[in-house]
Amino acid sequence: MTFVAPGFLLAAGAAACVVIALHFIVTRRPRSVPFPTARFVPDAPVAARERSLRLSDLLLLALRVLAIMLVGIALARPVLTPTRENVVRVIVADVSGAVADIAEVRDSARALLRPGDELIAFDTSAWAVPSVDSLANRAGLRNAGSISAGMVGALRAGQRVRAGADSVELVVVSPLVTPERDRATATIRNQWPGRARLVRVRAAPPDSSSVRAVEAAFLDSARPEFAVQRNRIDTVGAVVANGNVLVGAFERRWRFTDDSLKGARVLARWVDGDAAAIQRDSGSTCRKSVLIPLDSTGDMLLRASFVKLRASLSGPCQRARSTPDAALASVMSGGSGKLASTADFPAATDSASPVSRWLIALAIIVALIEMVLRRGPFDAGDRQ
Amino acid sequence: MRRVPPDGSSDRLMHSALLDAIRGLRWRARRASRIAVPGIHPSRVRGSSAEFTEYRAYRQGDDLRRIDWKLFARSDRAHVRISEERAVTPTYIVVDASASMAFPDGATSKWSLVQQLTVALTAVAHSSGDPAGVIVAGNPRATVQPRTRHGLVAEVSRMLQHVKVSGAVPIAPTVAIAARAASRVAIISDFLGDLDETLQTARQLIASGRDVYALHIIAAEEMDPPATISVVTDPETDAVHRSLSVDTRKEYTRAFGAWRDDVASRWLASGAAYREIVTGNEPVSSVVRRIVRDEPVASRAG
Repeated sequence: MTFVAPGFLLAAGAAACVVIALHFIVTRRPRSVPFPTARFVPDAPVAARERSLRLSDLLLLALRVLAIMLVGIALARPVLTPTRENVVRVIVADVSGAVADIAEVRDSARALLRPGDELIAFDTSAWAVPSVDSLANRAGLRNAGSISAGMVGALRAGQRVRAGADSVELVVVSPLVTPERDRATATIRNQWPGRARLVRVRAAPPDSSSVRAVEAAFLDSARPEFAVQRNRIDTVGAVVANGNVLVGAFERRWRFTDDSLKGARVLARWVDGDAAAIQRDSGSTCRKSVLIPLDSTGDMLLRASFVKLRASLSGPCQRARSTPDAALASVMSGGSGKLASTADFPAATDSASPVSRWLIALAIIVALIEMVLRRGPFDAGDRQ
Repeated sequence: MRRVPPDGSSDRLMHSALLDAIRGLRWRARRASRIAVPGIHPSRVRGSSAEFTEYRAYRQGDDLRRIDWKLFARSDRAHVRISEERAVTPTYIVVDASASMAFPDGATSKWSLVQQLTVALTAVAHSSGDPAGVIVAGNPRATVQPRTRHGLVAEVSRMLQHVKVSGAVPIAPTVAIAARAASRVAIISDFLGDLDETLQTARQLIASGRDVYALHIIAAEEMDPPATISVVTDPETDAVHRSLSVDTRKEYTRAFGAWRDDVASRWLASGAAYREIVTGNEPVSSVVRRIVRDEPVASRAG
């Protein structure tokens, strides 16, 4: 058994000690009885102090102490728990699109999961899963992952398991790629009062769909994504991308809107500075839009400068999504070096004890019995 | 609604055993009555009833029909027959309902004994043909006028049940009021109140030819206080607050005994019929029997 608020138990004990002390310190004046012929009793001082300890006094004292202790135990909220484990694990499993193979995450979690441990899955949010097999339920959505969300789920799980163990081990099963980190990740990680074990899984490969889009854009006369038609079609003489310059007479028919440029990465610019190709991130992938028209006739496609330009635009998304983030790993592996003690987790404020209400009822009954006995057979007379 | 029989039989049930025990008792007057109403008691009025007592020489003016002609034939002298008249003795029972009469609590209280005594004496007087009434000292509403009608005993019993025993009320004025309508006054009290005034009033009544009975009620706990009592207060006087310890008990017993002796002697000296009655000592019927028979009192413990 453990107590949610053991302070009340100590307070009840102190109150009981005070009651016991008062019981023996307080003197009792003998009971005054109406007596018609009292005038014939000699007029002597009325100060007969009784020091005898009657059985009724001990019974009343026991009932008072019992009532106080029952109230104290009830307010301390005893919780009947099963056998307490030494260490319990909170496993945070990444099921976002950053994971190459969800089966790898599942196998890692299965190897670590023990009875009594908590399993938390996360992508954009975190949730508790009943079994390892449930991890694949949302993996097909390929949502973006958030380590911060996973850590929040881990903290909640820590509150739940604190009553059943002395220490909690945090295990993070994730590729730990950069996009999963945000500005709050370090702060939330620091909320976990202990070290964390990192289990790295393979990150998802870069999305090749963006490469094919770039290849097709050079020869596609349809409106590119994110672009609108220029008010006036003009001609520009060169385009620059990643240090590679391609000179030619390019008829500019399209331009990017201001909204499409917000949050986008400019991959190529016309010589006058306008954006000629941009990349916009979308979940675990990126979408590229290229406004550089090429004439299928002529030798431009054969020029070395064009090949370099094309190569730079067709590469994987510039933010290197599939690369594990070392800084993130450093943040996650931080901590005091020891396991988190369950005492470091704040107790759930609304944790109710099913025994408390019965203890309160019992305390009321004991108090009523004490009152009846005190006023009835065990009338204590006057006290001072 | 339950219909109460006109004779109040439900009230009589409370004292039915006592009333059965005193059935047939007659409460004879200690002195000759001066009232001319026919009754069972000796009357000072000489009349021509059947009970012959003496002859007297004929005097001018006597009724000729009262001359005993047989005696005249034998003695050649005219004598008239004298016989004794019987009269009623109106009785008033004065009851003390002060706070001291409520001691101790419960069925053994002095007030409980007072109720039984009053009902019993009323019944005896009533069965003797005497008008009987009850008056509670200091409570003019708690009064049953002396009468002989049927249902008197139940009415007295009912009235006493509703009396609230409290306060410190002098009984001497009530004794004087009762004496106006009665030739026999019974005072039932513990005499812890206005004893001197009551004695003085009683002496005046006795001097005027009335019968006065002083029934001194004492609780057994007053004679021998229980050991559990250690601090006592007078219920009629908050100022009295005494410690009843082992040492003071002896002194209390001596002082209380001396006071009781003094009370008895003063009552007896006044000419009243005095009885000291301790609760629980003997059956109420025995007490009543001794009272109404006016058995000689050699000591106060009659």
